[in-house]
Amino acid sequence: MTGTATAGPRLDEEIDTREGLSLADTWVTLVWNDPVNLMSYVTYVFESYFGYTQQKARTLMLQVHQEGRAVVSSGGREKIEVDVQAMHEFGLWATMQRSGE
Amino acid sequence: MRPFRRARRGYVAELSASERLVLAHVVGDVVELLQEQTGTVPPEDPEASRIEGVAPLAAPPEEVRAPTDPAVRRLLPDASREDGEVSAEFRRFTQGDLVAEKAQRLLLLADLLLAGVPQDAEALTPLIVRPDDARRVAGALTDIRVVLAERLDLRTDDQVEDLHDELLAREESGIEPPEEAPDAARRFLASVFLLSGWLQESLVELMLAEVRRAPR
Repeated sequence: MTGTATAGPRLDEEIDTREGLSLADTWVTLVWNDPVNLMSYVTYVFESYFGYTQQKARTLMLQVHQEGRAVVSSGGREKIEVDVQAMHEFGLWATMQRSGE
Repeated sequence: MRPFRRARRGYVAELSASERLVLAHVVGDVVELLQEQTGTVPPEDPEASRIEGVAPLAAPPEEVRAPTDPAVRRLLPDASREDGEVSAEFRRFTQGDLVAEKAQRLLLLADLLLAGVPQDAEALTPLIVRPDDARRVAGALTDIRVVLAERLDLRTDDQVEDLHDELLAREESGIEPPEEAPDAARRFLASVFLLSGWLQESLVELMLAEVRRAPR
């Protein structure tokens, strides 16, 4: 979470800071390949949890399987924490990181 | 074992008594391991540790122990590969809930397995999963397979393929190695890994079909 401004900065400064923070604070959920999870199960998770179309879920599943990992969602840190927790609950191996890292 | 099919009352597979008992045994072991590794073993007497009229602390504990066993670590992985603080904070806020849910659904699966153990060890009897429970049962099967794969040292897709081929070849040959063979423990874990995989695969195929039928 981002800190709150203490002193009263000039309005334009404040906007600049916030923009900077919002860019830096975009996070992504990564799902990693493992030998255990079935392709059908990974597809099921992507369709049922994220609501992705059959085609998008399949593309992401294949990317995990063939390239070893895929970015499956992005957003603010809190949203991504929720997604990663959900992936762990499903039993998928997921991590989070700042976008662009 | 007969794989899951969709019936009016839910998803139905058929299992023998021996299959039910070995699966339930492994399920129990995984619950124990999970609770032992995360320090969430329920107290012997829940009344003894409760103070009258005092609500349990809602705030997450200051420090949540990361499991050291690699199999449990895989069930509760680090949320960040490079930032220890992100991982620690994530663990502090989520591990308790994740462990509770994983343990509960494993126990649900154990209940289903032990509900219909027939006298005759080889007779197949139905294992019925209500549609509302299917997601949690599939998750429990996943967790079992994650732990077994770790114990079996399965690290790559190819190793899993090889294990499948090995067991199928043995089944087709009809020659069972003696119980006391040095790799008996490994063969036991491998057979449970494959059994839970077949169950999961047939269940998930049906669940996926259902998701696709539902309006978005």
